[in-house]
Amino acid sequence: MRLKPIVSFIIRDLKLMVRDKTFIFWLVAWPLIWIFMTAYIFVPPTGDGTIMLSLGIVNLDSSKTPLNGSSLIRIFEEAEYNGSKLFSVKLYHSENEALQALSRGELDGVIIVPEGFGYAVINPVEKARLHTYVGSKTPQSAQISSSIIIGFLERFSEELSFKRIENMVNMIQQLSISEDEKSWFNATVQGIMQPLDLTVEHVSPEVFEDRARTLGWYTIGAIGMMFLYFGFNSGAILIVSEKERGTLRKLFSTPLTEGEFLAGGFLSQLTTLLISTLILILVGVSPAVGAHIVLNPLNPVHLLAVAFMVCGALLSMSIGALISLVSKTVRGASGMGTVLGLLLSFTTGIWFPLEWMPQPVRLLAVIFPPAWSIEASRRILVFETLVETLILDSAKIFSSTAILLALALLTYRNRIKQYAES
Amino acid sequence: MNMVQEAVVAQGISKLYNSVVALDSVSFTVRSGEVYVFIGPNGAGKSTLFNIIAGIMKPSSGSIKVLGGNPFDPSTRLKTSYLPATPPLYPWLTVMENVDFYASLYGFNKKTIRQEAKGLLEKLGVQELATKLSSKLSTGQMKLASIVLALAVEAELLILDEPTTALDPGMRRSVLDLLREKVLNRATILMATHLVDEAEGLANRVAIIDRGKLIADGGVEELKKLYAPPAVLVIKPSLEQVEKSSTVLKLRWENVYSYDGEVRVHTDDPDEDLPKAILILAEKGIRVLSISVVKPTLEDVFLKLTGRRLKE
Ligand SMILES: Nc1ncnc2c1ncn2[C@@H]1O[C@H](COP(=O)(O)OP(=O)(O)OP(=O)(O)O)[C@@H](O)[C@H]1O
Ligand SMILES: [Mg+2]
Repeated sequence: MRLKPIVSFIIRDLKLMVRDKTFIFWLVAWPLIWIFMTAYIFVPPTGDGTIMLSLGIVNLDSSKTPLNGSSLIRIFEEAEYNGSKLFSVKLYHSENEALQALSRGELDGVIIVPEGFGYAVINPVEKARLHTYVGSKTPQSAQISSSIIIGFLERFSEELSFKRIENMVNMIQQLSISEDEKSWFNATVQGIMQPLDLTVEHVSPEVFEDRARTLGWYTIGAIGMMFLYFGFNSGAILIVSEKERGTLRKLFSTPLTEGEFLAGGFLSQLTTLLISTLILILVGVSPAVGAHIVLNPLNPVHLLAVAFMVCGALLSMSIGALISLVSKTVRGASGMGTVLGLLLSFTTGIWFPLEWMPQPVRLLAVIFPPAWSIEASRRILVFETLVETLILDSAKIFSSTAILLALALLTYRNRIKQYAES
Repeated sequence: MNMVQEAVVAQGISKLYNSVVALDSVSFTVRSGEVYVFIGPNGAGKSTLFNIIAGIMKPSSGSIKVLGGNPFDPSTRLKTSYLPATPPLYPWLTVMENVDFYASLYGFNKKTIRQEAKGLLEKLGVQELATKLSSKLSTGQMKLASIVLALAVEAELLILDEPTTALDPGMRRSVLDLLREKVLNRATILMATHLVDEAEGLANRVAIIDRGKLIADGGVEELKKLYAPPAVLVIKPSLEQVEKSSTVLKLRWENVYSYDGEVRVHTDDPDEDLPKAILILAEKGIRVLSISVVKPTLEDVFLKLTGRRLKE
């Protein structure tokens, strides 16, 4: 295999990328539109980088204990993160009233504090319940509100355990038993109620740091989406476009071999995809978007993420090759590639979170290798996962890439023969 | 250059597209350094044959040797250059970038090929095309660009499928001149055309191909001697009387063909037949606008062999 022809395919197609505006659109503009929509509409920045949720509270509790409904309301009102308030609290008299406001989109969430909450809090054998409703002004805001409110309440509930223990310890102090027995009792109770060394004293859900990570998630998602439709598309038209342009026969009248042609085709598409990936990442981490993506070329773990990306691109192109078996015109193949690519990126957790999908649809992600590779690179680049947790994923991704690539090459050989001979 | 005596040897080549027989046991030999022209009507099988010679397609049966080797071997294709009938240009590249791209597939030095291409464009008087995007070219300019693509690489065998279609007469002459130059540089040229004058002006030997069969081949004069009469009477009656004239003349002569408002009569003895024809037509009250005696062309050979005309 000669290098020169392969390089010239790459140069040829880079010129196309630069000169054809539709290419720039699909490679860069379209994914960027989605990234910016995410950054400014779905996960809008607030002045100081935090989000304030409007919370409706219905207080039905009349307990006279230190931590009752009224003090809970104060806790919500005073909760701060990085010096700015988390919640703007509105009080409602009935659950109905609050829920109506929620469904009108005036609130992000509603918390119902039931009668007897205050007593339940200090009673170790009773569960203190709070009813929480999360609104959905937009699907995106529901996602965020719920993670914030639930995150807050989780921390709150931890603190509640802490308070209960304090309470128990106070009670134990008042018992008429020996000091030894008291301290043994104390230790045991704390051991039961507080298996972990709880040091949380104020509430600060980490969810709030996650605007940057959320945007990182979506930036990689946009790249994955671009891989899918562009890879499907270009994989599907690799040969039929040469055929329709009338260049296929000229190509194979030169000393060009099939292997060189396919290597050139794959590498040039890969180059195109990786260049636009780089552009999207740079825009993603720029202040304009503010996504959290770590990509240090000197870090071998990050290089593994790059390898996953390359696999994602190769997998998409290979699936495109299989599409060329059914779609035998550029128009058909390209349309089918784009639609399938968008559809699958929406349904396999590449662009929309998988949690939004109904259960049967989620199965798609389980069997769809490009989704594995996007998810794995996302875990490294955005969530900085430990590489040890990705061993199984790596095995799956690399082997599926090898298999699909082989299938693609077989398909292409068959296509070339088919088109050259007829 | 290590030249073989025969540039192309084809033996019993057949090609089927599903059930369509595009080539039916075609055999011929092209000697090194000659211009061998295939002439035949639409759908005769010329392009199919050229695809096989260029190593793009395999024949369904028969054997083919090109420059002493298998046309499918890259080492054989390194020594040939193929011009498809439709321009194989990448629309987003300029003409020179197309030249660069194809040159790189041969592995040739970019600079040399560029220089060669530039020279060719200059000879054709269209240097300005070099930096134009292919998508912005006219049909004829695309053809010129493809010719430059094909001729810029140093090839022992040029396989040119209809190199002059879509060109204006002046440009056609310039292209044919370029081809003559290539022959002087000892290239072998294989060419397909519908145009008899082009074939006659350039060919050392001509192959007549029709409906997938090679029906005759040989030197131009040789073919004329074998299949065409010494002379042809070309009679031009008024348009509505063409059919009638043809019918009348057919009563007296065997090979009478009418098309394009003319009636062509193949004759062995024009001195005797010319006055006879005038007389016969006058007797039937047919008004003749003009009548002349011309030398036969390859078209007449084709007419004689197939009973049909070539084209146009
Ligand atoms: N890809 C194909 N599939 C099926 N049949 C084909 C194909 N290409 C050509 N043919 C048929 O094979 C025959 C020969 O076609 P070919 O293109 O070789 O003729 P040609 O001599 O080059 O004609 P033209 O002068 O019009 O270019 C025709 O009957 C044509 O219909
Ligand atoms: Mg043809």
